Amino acid sequence: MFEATNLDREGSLPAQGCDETNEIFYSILSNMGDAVIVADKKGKFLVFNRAAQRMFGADMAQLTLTEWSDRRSLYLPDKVTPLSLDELPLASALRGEKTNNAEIFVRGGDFSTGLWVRVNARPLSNADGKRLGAMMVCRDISEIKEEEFFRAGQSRVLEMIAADKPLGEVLTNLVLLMEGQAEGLRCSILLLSRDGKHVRHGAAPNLPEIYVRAVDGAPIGPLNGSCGTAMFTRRPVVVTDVMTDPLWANYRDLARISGLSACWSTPILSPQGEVLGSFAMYREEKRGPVAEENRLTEIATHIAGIAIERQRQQEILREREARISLAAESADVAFWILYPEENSAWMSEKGRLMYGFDSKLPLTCELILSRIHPDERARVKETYDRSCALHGTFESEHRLLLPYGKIRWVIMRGRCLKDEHGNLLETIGVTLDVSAQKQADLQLQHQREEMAHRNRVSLMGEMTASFAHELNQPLTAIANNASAARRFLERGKMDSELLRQLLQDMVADSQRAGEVIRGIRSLVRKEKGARALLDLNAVISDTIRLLSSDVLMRESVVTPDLEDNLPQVEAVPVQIQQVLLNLIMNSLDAVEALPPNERRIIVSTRSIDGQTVEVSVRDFGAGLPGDDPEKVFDHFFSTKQQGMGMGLAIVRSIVESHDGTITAENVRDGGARFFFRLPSIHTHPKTQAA
Amino acid sequence: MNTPRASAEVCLVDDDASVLRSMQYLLASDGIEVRAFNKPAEFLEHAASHRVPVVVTDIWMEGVTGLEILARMCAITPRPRVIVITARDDLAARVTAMQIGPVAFFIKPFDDEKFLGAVRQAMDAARTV
Repeated sequence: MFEATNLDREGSLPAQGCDETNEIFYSILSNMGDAVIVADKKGKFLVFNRAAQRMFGADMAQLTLTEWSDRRSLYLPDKVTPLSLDELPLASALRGEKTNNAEIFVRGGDFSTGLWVRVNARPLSNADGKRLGAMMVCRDISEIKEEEFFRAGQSRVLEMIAADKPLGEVLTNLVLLMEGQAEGLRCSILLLSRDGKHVRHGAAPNLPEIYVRAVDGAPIGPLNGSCGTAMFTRRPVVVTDVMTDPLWANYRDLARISGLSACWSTPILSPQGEVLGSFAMYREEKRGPVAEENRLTEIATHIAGIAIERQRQQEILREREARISLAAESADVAFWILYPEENSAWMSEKGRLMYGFDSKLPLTCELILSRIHPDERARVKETYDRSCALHGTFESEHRLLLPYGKIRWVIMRGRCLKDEHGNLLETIGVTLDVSAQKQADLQLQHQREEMAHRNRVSLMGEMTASFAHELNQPLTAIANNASAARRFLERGKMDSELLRQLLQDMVADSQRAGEVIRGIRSLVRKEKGARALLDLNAVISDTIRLLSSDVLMRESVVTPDLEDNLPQVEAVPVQIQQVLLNLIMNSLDAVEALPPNERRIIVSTRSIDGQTVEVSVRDFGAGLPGDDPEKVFDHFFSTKQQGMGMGLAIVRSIVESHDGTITAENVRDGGARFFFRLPSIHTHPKTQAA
Repeated sequence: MNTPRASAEVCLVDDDASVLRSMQYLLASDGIEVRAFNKPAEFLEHAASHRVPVVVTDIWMEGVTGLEILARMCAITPRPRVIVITARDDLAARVTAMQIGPVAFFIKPFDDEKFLGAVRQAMDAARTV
């Protein structure tokens, strides 16, 4: 029972004459799990208990300290630096030094994988302080150490996951970690393909290449080896003998080549319960897993689940990013984020191109604002501040002024993100480059104006009688007055009052002729002119007067029926006149075929609810095409021989550009009626000039 | 020259006030007194109850056109001498005017000598009837 026989009974350690006490004492020593070694001052072992013999070798008990190093290799905790005899805690204790909780690695003997021990050593002295020897107590901490290393290994794998290392590398490390925990254990991780129907290679560092390749791409199913079945059934599959188990019917040759006998596979599940893959353990002996192996599987599937899930999320994120940036790149859209607190900003590459920023330039909110055209900057800023405060969203169409004077038309849309207290955190948004559309719009507008101008010129051609008459009247009066003055002078009958009269009339008539010329010029001028507050009744009266000669010549009558106190409208005068001229000329054409006394046209105005003013031109002609009166507004629609079919199309575009509507209809008791409506402006006449 | 011609009254019809006045001055500068009518209807009213030897009228007027006046003049005996003045040379007007007999036709603005000569000629013709 007590193997350490070299105890010097003459020594002072156990009390002399206490044999029974000594018996108990030795019994404790030989039964305890910790190694207890006592040496005399010459290094001769007095106690070398059973645990010590197990750790350091049974024969050691017969030896002295100086002979120790030949038997068992002792190392520092790095497992490679040998421990010299002097450094052995027992040797230091013999020199009078204490050792507390030193860790030593022991190799050799029964422990093929080595042994971790924690050592405490003390010098032993008698009551007088005379050194007698030393004592060393060693505890086997191999299990604790292994667990510590295993945990550190798990942490390393988790760190790799966090650092977004490639999935293959992470899983290989995980497999190696697991394999390191048990003798003869080989592991593999397989992944479930995106279609959910096939297995993909994940990691199997210690399985033959041929096996790995054969498994990659194999289908999952109820009878597809351990892993394919585990993924299919979502349950662990334990195959203790692959040579006989029906699940392995298709894989027996592979198993034979690879030297595999047992294979236990467990599905790897995501937190939502989706199958991500499987973790398998292989053994060369035919058996099922032991508790420790089940524990390893549990840890391995948990960590592998995290790794695969994270990689999937990253993939989804990357794909989404790729899609968004593809959309952004192809749609001429700039993405941006403003952080008003830090006065910093982020912008996508496309955005930087759009705004003319170098890709390295650090952006600020001011910098982005500075690219907005100076004429619009204040307005955009104000819109931004107001919209963000009111609605949390913002939209603006404006111009950018880029370096070297390049102009870009953009639409900017943003959304403000606020914290729970309502403080603005950031504004995210997009900017669309609409320069091309704007260019097309401007061109279209230009074409419209060109067309409208041609329409006015051609209208004037149709109104020659009126213009000739309007001009000839004042010119005739001037000529007559001048002739009269000459005659009065020749006859000496001219008094100063008469002369003043004649001259005054001539001045008035030349002014009147000037007015007519101005009227013609305003119709022929290309630019459309500015909007002004208009009294539609006055414009109608002027237009009817302008047309009076033509109306007379066509033996027709245009009758105004105007509502008193009509609200004003805001419009471009010449354009409204153009609308009226077109409509009245059309009506004159429409009544041409009738007998003279039936050639009637009524131009009327009325106010609707005080919000809208309606102008109607009604004739008593043959009416409009019955199926679709509105067709007359189409381009190139004409019922007339010489008509280009542009007049009414232009009329509609003018009315619509004034936020109005125009309608054509047949009147029940004959003829057609065109009416257009414009929004009225409620302004006191006196404020017009302002 | 300057012989009073009270018996040969000239009526002047034009709805344009300033043209009407200028013609009045022109005729007065040659010593011809006229009755001027700014509204054609008023002239027709006058013609219904007065002798109208000579009429100078515009063609294109609001309300009653010169052509209507011409038509009415045809119905009067002795038929008045008519001088038409128009701002626009118009074939239809010329043809209508010719139908009622020898009429002078002037397009505004016109030569003052020829016009005054035509008025005098009409006045003389009216007097000899």
